[in-house]
Amino acid sequence: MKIILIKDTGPTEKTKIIYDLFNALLRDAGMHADYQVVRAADIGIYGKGVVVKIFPGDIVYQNVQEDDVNNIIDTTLKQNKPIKDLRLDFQNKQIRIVLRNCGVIDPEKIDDYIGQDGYQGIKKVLQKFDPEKVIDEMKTSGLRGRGGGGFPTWMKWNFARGVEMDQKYIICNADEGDPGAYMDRSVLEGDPHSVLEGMMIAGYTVGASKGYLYIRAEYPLAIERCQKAIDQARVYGFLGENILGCGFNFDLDIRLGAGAFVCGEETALIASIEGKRGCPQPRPPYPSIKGLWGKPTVINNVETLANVPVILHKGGAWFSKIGSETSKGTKVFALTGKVQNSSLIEVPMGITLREIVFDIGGGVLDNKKIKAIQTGGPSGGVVPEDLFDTPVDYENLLKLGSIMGSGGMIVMDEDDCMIDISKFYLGFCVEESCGKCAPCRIGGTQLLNILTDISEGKATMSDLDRLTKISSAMQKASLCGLGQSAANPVLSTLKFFKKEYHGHIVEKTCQAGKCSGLFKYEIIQKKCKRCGLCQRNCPVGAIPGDKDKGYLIEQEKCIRCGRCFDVCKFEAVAR
Amino acid sequence: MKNKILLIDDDADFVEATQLLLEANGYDVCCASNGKEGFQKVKEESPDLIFLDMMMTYKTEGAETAKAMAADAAIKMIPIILITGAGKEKDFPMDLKTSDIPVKRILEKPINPETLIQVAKSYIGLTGKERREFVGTLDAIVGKWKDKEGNLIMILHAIQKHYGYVPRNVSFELCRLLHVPLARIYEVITFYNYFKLEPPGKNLISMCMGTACYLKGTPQILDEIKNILGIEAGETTKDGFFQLQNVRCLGCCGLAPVMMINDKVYGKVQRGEVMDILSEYTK
Repeated sequence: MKIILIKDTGPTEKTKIIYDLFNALLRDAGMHADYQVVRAADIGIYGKGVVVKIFPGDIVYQNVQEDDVNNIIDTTLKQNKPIKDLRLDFQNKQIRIVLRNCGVIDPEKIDDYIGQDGYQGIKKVLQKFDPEKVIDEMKTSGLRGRGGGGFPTWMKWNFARGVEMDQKYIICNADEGDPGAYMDRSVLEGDPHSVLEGMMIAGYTVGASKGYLYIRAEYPLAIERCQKAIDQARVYGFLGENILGCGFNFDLDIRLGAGAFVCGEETALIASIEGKRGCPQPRPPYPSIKGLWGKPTVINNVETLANVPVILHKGGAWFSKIGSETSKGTKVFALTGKVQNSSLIEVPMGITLREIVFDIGGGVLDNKKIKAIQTGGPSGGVVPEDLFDTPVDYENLLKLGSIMGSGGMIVMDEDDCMIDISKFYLGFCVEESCGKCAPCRIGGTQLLNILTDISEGKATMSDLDRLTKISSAMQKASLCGLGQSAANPVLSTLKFFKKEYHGHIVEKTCQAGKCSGLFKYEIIQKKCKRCGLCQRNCPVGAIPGDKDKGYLIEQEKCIRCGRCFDVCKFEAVAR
Repeated sequence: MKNKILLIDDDADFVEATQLLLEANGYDVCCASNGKEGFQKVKEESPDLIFLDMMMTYKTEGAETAKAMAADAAIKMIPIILITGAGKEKDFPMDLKTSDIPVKRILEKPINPETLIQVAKSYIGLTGKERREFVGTLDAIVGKWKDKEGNLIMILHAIQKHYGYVPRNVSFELCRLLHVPLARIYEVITFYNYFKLEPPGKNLISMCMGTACYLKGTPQILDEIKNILGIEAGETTKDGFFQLQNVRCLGCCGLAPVMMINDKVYGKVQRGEVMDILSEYTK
């Protein structure tokens, strides 16, 4: 049984017409038993007219008109040929390396993975390569850490390899904590074996026989699938002793996180695996030299590890052809926020933000004006719209005061207040600070206080200098990445949206209408139809009046909850 | 040793029936018939849990007594459950806000015997046969992890999975089994958000605080829930029906704003829908 999915993504609402037409014509052709026609509620594509998807397969048609239906049935369904003119090349800007198997294989079946060249990388490495050669290959590939820092993976491995020690460890960092990022989860749930294989190759290269997957407890499905994958790999002899008869021993265990963002930091993560509070340690010594239980330890992010098997299987040179000068390969981003097409995307490094937001994301929701894009989560910053032509790679984002981070990408429109955003991210860091070092613990709280003052219209211009001063102290003096980067959202919004800060401080207005106290709700009498809905919904009785006299918002009583704004059907409540 | 429960109520029939019920379930019970006597009994008997009636010699005696107990450093850790039949009476002092009374739960009379025992169990340890079972469970959990390095967090995960939280008596038992100080166990529990020290509410509301959800309006929805339920994030309603928590990201940013009640995910939630969604769970 094949499925035909239909949805009108334009303004015409022709879904039903095309749906009926498909059903009728399929019946005429005697094919209706083989096809199920379904009207989709949401198809993930917007503004492309009637979209028709045919499963299984990768054919997606756009702007389908009544006349096209017959053609689709004749050409595509009967002769299995695509119709070029109608085809929507949805993924042409995306390249799938990390997500190559996600949604393609059954993640709970090791045979499916093997069928997609799985465990070919480790086989090649064990049979043909010495560790030296693996390092060379990784160096050629130019793969850098996908957890955010962008440290060259081969270097990390080489450091750990260089230390003589009876026991070494490989850790997979799957403590994905950035709000708005879920790529690691998708890989662990969709293709756990690729991460396992990556860890094995790392283990062989540095001389480690033991690995840990540190997964967030909030991802029960990922944990379950990884455990299944480990069990299966043991049965198939990919884990355990004398793997593939090459004398290499390696085994894996799962350790669970427990809801502490700071445990994404290497040294804190190690402390957590050791069963302690997840407080970071000063570096050096780096974990590659002295890590878990004092032994050399390589910690790689999920996405990094998922790249490794492909690189070894297809060669570093192949990988290095993808991407930009300094950043090779692809990056998975979780594109969310005020964008039409919220989804997980995998794009080559060097693609511009504009291409990501408009070509892949389909532009902004509700035809609002786009303001900025935020990358790197609470450690990152915002990039304003006029810099959207910047190619995305580690260096460029750093230059703009943001970071690549784990890959959250959040689109913001004119309704989003930059002070509110900074407050949100900073509040996150303050809550998640482990409290060990003063710059992060105290600095964060002070920054948050100042931002709260600004959002309430209580700040003065001199507070902006204090913001910058405290931020730079935190950057320089904090013990770990969390504190060092916590001020990034503040600094970058300050850099690109100083006007908004001025507006809040000097004119005491919040254009976006987010900072309650700096704006008010009013009824535009011209637009008001006197339905009284706002009055009935006001929780504090701040809207007196009746159908004859009209309605008015009493500003002294109003708590700015925005309910009247939400319920008004005539846009007569203005902010 | 049996766990002790103190019953403070002026209704002799209720006290007698409840005493029998609790004793049959393996608890030691002591009684008092007014706030003053109750306060004295607490000092003498140091019970593990207190059931306290709201209206005795005067209408707010229960509330006053609870406040007095909470102000006394020596006894303030003992959990109090307020019981009241006042909900049905017209002259209930409605100006008294339940959130101001320092009690763990409020149970309304008539109280279902099962509910009473369940509540007692959730706040104090277990007795007799159940205690043996509990030690058995814990032994099994610890046995599985004992020889592995850095096992504490994994053991706590297993305990929380079993009990829904990490009960205090379990932590005591655990430090005996693992030969580590209690402080070591508690420093870990309190560091990580995931571990809970209080029993969870019947329905857990998780509000996604991911960036996408935040931008699309979780703060407003959260306010609405707070207004309806009268609790802050991290708290449980006094009837134990709802627990509200903020979570970092539920990983369904495409559906923002998202909230989850127990295992059910609600996407693209609007403020006006909150009441309807919550009322599904009160039936």
